[in-house]
Amino acid sequence: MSDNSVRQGERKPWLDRVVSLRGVRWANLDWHVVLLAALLLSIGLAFVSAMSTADETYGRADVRFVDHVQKLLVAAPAFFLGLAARPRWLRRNALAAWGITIALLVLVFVVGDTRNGSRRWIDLGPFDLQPSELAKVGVILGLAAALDHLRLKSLREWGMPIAMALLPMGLVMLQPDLGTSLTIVPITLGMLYVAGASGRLILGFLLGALLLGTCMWHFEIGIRDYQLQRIDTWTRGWSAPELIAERNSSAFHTYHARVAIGNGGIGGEGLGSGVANEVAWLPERDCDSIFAVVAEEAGWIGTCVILALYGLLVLSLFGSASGLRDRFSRLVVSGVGILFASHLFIHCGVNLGLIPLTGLTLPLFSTGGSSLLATFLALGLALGLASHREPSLDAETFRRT
Amino acid sequence: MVAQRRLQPLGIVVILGLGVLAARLFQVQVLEHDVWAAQAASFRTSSRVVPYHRGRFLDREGRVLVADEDAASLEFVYRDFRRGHPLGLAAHARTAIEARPVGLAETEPRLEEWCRRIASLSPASIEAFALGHALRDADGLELAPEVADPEPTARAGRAADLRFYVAQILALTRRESGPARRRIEAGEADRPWSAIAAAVRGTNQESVIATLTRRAEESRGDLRVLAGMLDEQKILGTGSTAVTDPLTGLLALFDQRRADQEDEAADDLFRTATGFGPGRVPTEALRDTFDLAWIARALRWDAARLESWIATRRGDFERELDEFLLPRLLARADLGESEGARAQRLLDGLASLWRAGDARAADDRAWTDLESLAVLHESRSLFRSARGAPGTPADAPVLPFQDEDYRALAAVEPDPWRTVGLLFEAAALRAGLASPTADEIAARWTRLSASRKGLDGDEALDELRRAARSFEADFSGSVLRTLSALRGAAPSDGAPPPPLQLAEERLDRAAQRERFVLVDAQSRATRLAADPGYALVQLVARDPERYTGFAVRETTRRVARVRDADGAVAAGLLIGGTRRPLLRELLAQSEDERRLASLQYRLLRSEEEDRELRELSTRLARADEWTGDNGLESWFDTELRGRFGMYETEGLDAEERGEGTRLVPAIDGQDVALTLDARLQVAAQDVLAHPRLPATGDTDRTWFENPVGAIVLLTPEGEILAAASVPTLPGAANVPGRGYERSHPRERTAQTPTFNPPGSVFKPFVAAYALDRLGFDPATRFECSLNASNQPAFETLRCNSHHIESDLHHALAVSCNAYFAQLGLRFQPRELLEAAHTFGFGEPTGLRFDPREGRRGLREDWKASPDIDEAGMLKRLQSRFDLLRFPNGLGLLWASPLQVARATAGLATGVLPEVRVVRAIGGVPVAGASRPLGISNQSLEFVRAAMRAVVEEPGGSGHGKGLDAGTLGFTFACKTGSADIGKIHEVPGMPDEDRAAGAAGKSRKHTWVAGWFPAEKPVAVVVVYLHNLTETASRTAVHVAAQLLQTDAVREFVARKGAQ
Repeated sequence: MSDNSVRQGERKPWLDRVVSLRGVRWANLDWHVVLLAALLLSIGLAFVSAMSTADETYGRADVRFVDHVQKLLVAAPAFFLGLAARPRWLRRNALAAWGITIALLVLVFVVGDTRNGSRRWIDLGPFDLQPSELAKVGVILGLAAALDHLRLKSLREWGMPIAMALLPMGLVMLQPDLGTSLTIVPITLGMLYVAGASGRLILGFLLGALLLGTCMWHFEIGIRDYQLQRIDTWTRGWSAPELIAERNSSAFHTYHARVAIGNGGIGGEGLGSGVANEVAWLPERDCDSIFAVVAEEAGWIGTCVILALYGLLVLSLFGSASGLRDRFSRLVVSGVGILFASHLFIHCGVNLGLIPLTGLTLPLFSTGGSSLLATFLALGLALGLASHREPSLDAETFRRT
Repeated sequence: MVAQRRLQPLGIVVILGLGVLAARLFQVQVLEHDVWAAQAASFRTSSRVVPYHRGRFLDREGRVLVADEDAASLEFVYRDFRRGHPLGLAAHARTAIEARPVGLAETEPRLEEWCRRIASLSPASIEAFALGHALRDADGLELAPEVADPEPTARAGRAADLRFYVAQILALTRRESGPARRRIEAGEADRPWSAIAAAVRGTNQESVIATLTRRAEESRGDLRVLAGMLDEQKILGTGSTAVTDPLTGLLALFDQRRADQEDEAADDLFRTATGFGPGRVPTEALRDTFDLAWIARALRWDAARLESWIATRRGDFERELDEFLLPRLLARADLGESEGARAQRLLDGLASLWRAGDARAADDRAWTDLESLAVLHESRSLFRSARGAPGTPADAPVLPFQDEDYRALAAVEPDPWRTVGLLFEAAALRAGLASPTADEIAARWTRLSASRKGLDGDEALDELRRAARSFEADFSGSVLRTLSALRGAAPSDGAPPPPLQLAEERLDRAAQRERFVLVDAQSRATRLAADPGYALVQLVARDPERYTGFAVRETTRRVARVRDADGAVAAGLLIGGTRRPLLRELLAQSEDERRLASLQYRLLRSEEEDRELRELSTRLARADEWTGDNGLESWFDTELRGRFGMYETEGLDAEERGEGTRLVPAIDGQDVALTLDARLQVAAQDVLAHPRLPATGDTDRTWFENPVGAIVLLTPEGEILAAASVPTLPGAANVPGRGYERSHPRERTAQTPTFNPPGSVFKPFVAAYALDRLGFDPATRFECSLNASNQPAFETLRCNSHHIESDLHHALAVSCNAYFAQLGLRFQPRELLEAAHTFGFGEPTGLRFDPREGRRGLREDWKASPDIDEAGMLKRLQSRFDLLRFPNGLGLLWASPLQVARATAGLATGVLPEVRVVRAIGGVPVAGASRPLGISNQSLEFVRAAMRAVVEEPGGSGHGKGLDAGTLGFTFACKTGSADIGKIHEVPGMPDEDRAAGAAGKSRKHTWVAGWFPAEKPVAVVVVYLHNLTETASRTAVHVAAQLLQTDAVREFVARKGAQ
C-alpha cells in the first residue's frame, strides 16, 4: 500500500486531495531541471545583488537586494504548491483555475491600483499581485484541460482553445500590458501544436498574421500612433548611427540597452561594473532590461553560457513532457517550457533590437514579486506533474494521436 | 513517441532561436563593440575643455603685438551644489520631505537647525515615510503627514532622495556606508542617522551633531564671502534693486537657476510624452486639458510651482520663436544662392515650425510636404480616454501651406517671392488680421533679399514675425478647438470638465527619461563671472570642498601688448578683432557637422574617411570658440585657430577613488609674424592722432584738432613697416561740414571709403612715364599764366601758384598744375591709363595674400575708380576737362595710401614690389614678389632728383618745413599733393575758419606727402594722407610728415638700417 493510499471507504482530507508533499514522487523528480533552475536563479540573484550594491555606492535606491530576496521567499512556497499539486485534482480543476485567473483579471479593473495610467496591480498589503502574470499559468492549465479532449482534426475544434486564449489576452491588453499579452500567443500556438494541430496550419496562421500586421503597419490601419512610432523607432534602431542620433527621443530605452550590451564585448565588464549599473540610465534594468545588464557584465561568452543554460532548461522541460503518457500533464509541462522559451526570446529579442520595444521580464532573473510567483508556480507544476509518470489507464493511452 | 514527434520540432525551434540570439549578440557585442563602448565611456567620462591659445601676431623683430593670455571664468553647477553643499542638501532634503520646491533662500536662515533635524531622522522613519506614514524628527515634530496612498505622491522616490541627502549631510564616506548599512540591518534602524554615524566613527552623537552644525555655519560664511566678492565685481546686480544683501542676491540667483533648469526638465518630460513642447499649446488649454500631476510628482513640485510653470510656457515659446527660431530660419534662408532658393528656404523653414515633431530640430523638408501639424497630429492618441472627439480629422488642412491650390500655384508661379506673398496674405486673412496684398509683401521681400544686408537684418525679421503671428493664430485656433472637443462637455453641475490623463505608453516613455532629464539639466554649468579677478579665483580654487558646485574654468582672453599713447591697439584696425561664431556661420557648417557625426559612428572607415574626419574635427568651429571678426584676425583665422584639449575623468567616483584624469593636450594656433615694426607703428599712430600745430599758424587748425587720415611706412621691397589710421577709437564727434569720417574708426591705408584722388603725388609717375615712353624732353617749358580772374591757371584748371614758366624739374619741385595739364595733352588717353597701371594703380597691391582660398575679413579698395570701368575712363578722358586733370591726379583716379606707397617704392628702386604685411606663418616664411617697372633708370633718376628738390630747393613745396637733412638727420625725397574733392558749403555750426576759407574761394581737399628716405639710398617709403582739409599739403601734410620723420623711432630705424 502506498503512502498516500487510504483505507477503503475512507476519503482523504480535502487538502490532501489537492496538494500533498507526501504525494510527490521525489525519486522521479527531474533533478536536472531543478538544478538548472536553481543555477539560473543563483546567477540572477548575483546580478541583482551587484545592482543593489552599485545603487548603494552611487546613492540610489532603485534596486534593493533585500526586497528581492523577500519577494523570493514569499513566492517560493508557490513552487512547492505547484510541486505538490495532485495531478488528478489539477486536471479536474484546471478550467476552474483558468476561470479564477479570468476573475482576477476582471477584478483588477474594479479594485486594481492605477499607476502611470495603467491598472495592473491588486494591492494585497505587503504584496502587489499582478494577475496578468498568473494569467499565463491559468492559460496553460485551461488550454491543457481543453486540449486534453480535443484532437483538433477540424477547425471547429480550434474555437474553444483559441477563445480560452483570446479572453485573457484581451483582458491583459486592456490594462494595457502588451508584453504579457504577447506571450500568450506562442504559448497557445505551441500547446495547440503539441496537442496535435497541423504544423502547416499554425505556420500558415503565423505568416498570415505577419502579413496582416505588415499591411496594417504600412497602410496605418488599426494601429495607434504610439505603436507606429514604436515600430518606426525599432526599424531606425537597426542602424547604430541612427539609434545614436535618436537617443534622446523615442529610442532612449533601446539606445541604452544597446549601449550596455555592446559595451560588454567578448569578456564582459565584470559583475556590477557595467555602465548600466554605474550611471543607471537604462530604464527597468532590474526587470525588463536585465538581459542588457547581464550581457554587459558577462560579455558574449558569459551570456552565451547563460543562454545555453536557459535553453537547456527549456529543452529539459520538453524532454520531461515527451516522456509523459498523460496528455494533460504533457500539455502542462510543455506549456511551461514554451512559457519560459517565449519569455526568453521576447525579453532578449527586445533588448537586442530584434523585436519592437515591449516590457517583459526574464524569469529567474528579473525582480518582481508576481513574476517570481508565476515562475515558481509554473516550474513547480511542471516538475510535479513530470514526476507523476503514472501509467494511465484511460482510453487515451490506447488511442493513436 | 507521438509526443516526441511533436516536441522535437519545438526543441529545434528553441535551438534555432538561441542561435539567432547568439549571432545578434555577436554582432552587437563584438562587431559593434567599439561604437557602443565609446558611447558607454561618454556616460561615465566627465570632461573639461582645455582652451588653446590662438596664434599670436608678432612684429618684424619678434615683439608680441597681440596674444592670448590665460584667464579664468567662474562657473556654477547646480547639481554639484545640490549634492554636496550643506545649503543645497538641506533645501533639497526639505523638498523631498515636503513635496514642494523649497528654495535656498528659504532654508538659509535656519540652515543649522534643518541640518540637525534631517540628521536626526532614523532609517526606520524614512522607510515608514516611504510607505505613507507621517515623518517625524527626533523631537516628535511632524515634518510630513500620513497619506493613505504613497504612490500618487511618489513617497518611495522621495524617501530614496532623503536617504541620500541625510548621508551627505552627515558626510558619510563610502567606507562608512557599508558598516552603517550593516548596523541598520542588524536592528539599529530606529536610531537616528546621526547616532548610527557616530557609532560607525567610534565617537558620540553630540560630536557628530556639532561637526555638521559647524560645517553648516562655515558653509554659510563661505557663501557670504563669495557673494560679497561677486557683488564687488557687479555680478550680482544688487544695490540698485530691492535686494541689497549680496548673500540674498546670490541665493536668489541660484534659486532662479534651479527654477530655470527644472522648467527645462519639465519641458523635456512633457515633450517626450506628447511629442511637442508645452508652449505649442495656449496656456488655458495646457492647464485645463492636460493632467500634469505626473510632472509635479517627478520634479517634487507643489500645485503652485506647477502652475507657475504652466503660466510661463507659452511666453517662453513665443520668446524662443522671436529670438531664436525665426532668426535662425532667416539666417538659413539667407544662405540660399538665388532668389528662388532663398524664398524656398524661407517657406520651408516657416512650415517646419508647425510640422509635427520638434520645431527646434533642423528640417530640410519642403513646405509642400507639410501634412501633419504639431499637437493636432498627436491629438489622435494623446489621451488615455478622451471624453469627446474632434469634429475634423487630426490631419485636416489648417494652414495655407497645406492648401492644394497654393501648392499648385507655387509650382507655376515664376516669382518665388510672390508665392511667399500669397501664403502670408492667406495666413493673415484666415487669422482675421489686416494684411498688405500679396504683391506688396512680395515686393518687400524682393527688396530685402536684394539689399546689402540681405535677409539677415531687423526689417526682414520684423516682416517674418508678422507672418509667423498670422500662421500661429490660425494654428492655435485649431489646437484650442481640438483639445476642447477631446476634453468633452462640462458636467451637469457646471464645474469645468477635469483634465485628461495622457496615454500610458506616453507616460511610460517620459518615466524612462525622468532621472536622465533632471540630471542632464542640472549638470550644465552656468557662468557666474567671465573674468572674476585673482582673489575670487584663488578663493574657489584653493578650497574646492568648501565651495562645492563652484568651479574655476580655464579660458583665454585676447590681449594687445602694444598700444599707442591713447591706449589704442597698435595696428588694431589692420589686425582686427575676434568674436564668437555667428548663428549664420554655425548654420552654414551644420551639413559638415552631420557628416562628422556620421563618420564618427561609422564602424569601418577608409583612409580617406579618416582624413576627412580629422579635417572636419579641426575645421568646424565650436559655438564657444573665438573666431576672427575682421582684419588679419579673420583673414588668417584658420591658421590662428588651434584645437581644444580635454581633461577626461572616467568613472563617476573617480575622484573618491583618487584616480587621475587623462589630459588630451590642446594644440595652440600658429603665430603670424608681420612685417610691421611696433615702434614705428606706435610712432605713426601717435603722430596722426595728436599732430602738433605748425608754428607758422597758417594751416587747417580744425583738422589738427580733429584729425582723419593715414600713414604708411613701407620698405622699398614692399614690406609694411607701419599702417596707421585715425581715428582709432569710436565716439569722436564729427565737425559740421567735414563729413562723417571722424566718428568712424576704419582702416584707411588700404580702404578708400570716400572719393580719394591722389592729387599731385601722381605727377612723378606721369613724368617718369612721359620721359621714358613718350620721349618727352624735360627741358620743355610750359607757361603757368593768370586767367581772366587773375588766378594762376591753365584753361579750366587752376594752379596753386603763378609759376610763370617751368621746365619739368621745376614743375615737379613746385608742383605746377598748369605744366602737367599741358604735359597731359601730349598723352593719348590710353597712355595716361597705362602710366597709372605701370606704377600699380588700378590693381591690388598684394596686401590680401591668400595661400588658401576662401578668406574673408580684409578689405582693400584697389580699383582705379569704383564707379567707372576702364572703358568708361577712356571715354571720359576724351574730354579736355578730365584730360587736363588726370595727370595732376585729379578727377577720375582713386588711389589708396598703400597704392601710392607701392608706386613710390617703385619710383625709388625701379622695381614695383608686391605689398606684404606677413613675413611668416607658423615659422614658415612667406616669399615676396615684385616686377620691374620697365622705366629706364635715367628717367627715374631725373624724377628722383626733382623730388629731392621738393625739399632742398627754395620754392619747393616741401622746402623749409622741417624735412631737410639738417633737421631729420637724413635726406628725404618726396612729392606733396593736394586733391580737391569739393566746395566748402555753409552749414550750421561749422567752424569760423572753414567759413572764412569758403568765403575765400578755397575748396575741400585731401593732402598728401609721398617720398622715401634717405633720398640716396632708401630704407623706407612714407606716405602721409590727410582727409578733408581746407589748406594745401605744404601747410598740412608736410608738417605731419616732418613730425613723423623727426620721431626717435624713425631715427633709430634709419640708424639701424644704415649700420646693416
